Amino acid sequence: MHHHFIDRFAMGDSPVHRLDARAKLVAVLAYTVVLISFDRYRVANLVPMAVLPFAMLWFARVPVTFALRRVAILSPFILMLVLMSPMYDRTPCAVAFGPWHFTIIGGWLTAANIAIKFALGVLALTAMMCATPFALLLEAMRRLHMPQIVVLQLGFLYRYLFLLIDEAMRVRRARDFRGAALAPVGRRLAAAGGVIGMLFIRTLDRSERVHLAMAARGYRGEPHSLNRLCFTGADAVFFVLAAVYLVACRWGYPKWF
Amino acid sequence: MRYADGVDALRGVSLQVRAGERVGLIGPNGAGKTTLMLTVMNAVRFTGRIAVAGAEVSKKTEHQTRSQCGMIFQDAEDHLFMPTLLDDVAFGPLNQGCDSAEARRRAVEAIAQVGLTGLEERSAHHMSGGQKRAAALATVLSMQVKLLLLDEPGANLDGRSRRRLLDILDGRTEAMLLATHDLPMVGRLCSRVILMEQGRIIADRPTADLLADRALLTAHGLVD
Repeated sequence: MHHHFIDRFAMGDSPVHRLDARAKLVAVLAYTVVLISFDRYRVANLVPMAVLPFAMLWFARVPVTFALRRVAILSPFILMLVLMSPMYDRTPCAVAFGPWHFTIIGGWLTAANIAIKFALGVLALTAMMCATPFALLLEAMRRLHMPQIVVLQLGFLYRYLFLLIDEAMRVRRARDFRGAALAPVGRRLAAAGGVIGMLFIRTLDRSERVHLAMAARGYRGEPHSLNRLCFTGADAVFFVLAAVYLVACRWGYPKWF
Repeated sequence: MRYADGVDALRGVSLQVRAGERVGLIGPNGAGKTTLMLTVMNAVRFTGRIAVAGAEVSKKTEHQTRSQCGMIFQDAEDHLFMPTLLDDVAFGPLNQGCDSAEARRRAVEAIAQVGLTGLEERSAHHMSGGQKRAAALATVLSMQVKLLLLDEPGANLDGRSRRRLLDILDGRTEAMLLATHDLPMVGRLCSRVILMEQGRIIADRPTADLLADRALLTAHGLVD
């Protein structure tokens, strides 16, 4: 498993890629806030909200199937919530869909609302991540005055997560090559505990060495970074368009919905 | 210098490295080579006196002395912690107080010096072992230090990567302290060699002289 998993499309070149990372980050954060602000029984009102993530994906030349696969991978996290909603919320709700009028329990509307919000939220994040190198996203966070420690931690997570996963894979392979699959469950559990403990100690050791490497290069607790972001007219246009779109989605949707 | 468990890692060590001089540090595992370098970087506590470019190493002068010497660790993964190569190489100059444009200029120059031009936006995870080692070297070259502390720079490199690294190091003008088990590397790069064992300096002689002393090398397990 490698950074390819995160950065697969981020190094491309498209109008969305060329936008300033701050503009994209603020737009997607605002989009998320607007998305979750809709009432739980509103479903049709969420439909126009699909325009931004799909437009970003299209302009960034990211295959929609790739983004939908991400949604599918993450869906187990909200599956239980969606499935439980109809059981807990039994409020009857009148639904009008064009010429058709019928009554269903509110839980189904809530379930659909949660599922759509989740899918659109993940799609918007995926579109942003696929159109922005992670280093620039970190830089955008730093320039937007997000807490330094959070930005630093995210940077380390990005840099060392896959290294740790690779290390765990190697240890697991070494264990399997010595017949771990044939061992009784108790011994396998004990071995797994040992592997986790060993990885934890290795991670601690590595963090000490990394800190030493940082200190050796003059780090004294204040992160500095190269100034690589540039807010241009195109970013301002994107920003205004995104703001108008979000306001229209939230407060200007057609009443027949 | 003494570890927390009471073991003396370095005892009675006294040496001087002149400007531009290349000194090899050889000795068996646990001889104290890495510890000596960490001591110069003020990364471990010690008693005695160390001076870098005239400034005595202490907590107070740490920032100043660390600006004068760059250490490259055995495992390049520990050295490359930023999301891209350019960020990593610019990290030191930015901490030295350079503005963004100057840090970028130095970083691009250092990346070119180690032959990694074109990989600026690449993560270390996408580099080969040889590229990581060269990248680690670039991170200290961009700081324009006076003393390079290299801990096993040739470890785990294939023949081509090792030769390439040797060529880069051979073209440097900074003073160098090179800890290694790679005697041919010492022979090519260093004019002087220090043999250590159990935290002490056993011999400090010109390279050709010490490497020709088979009996000494054999006695300390450096050749069979």
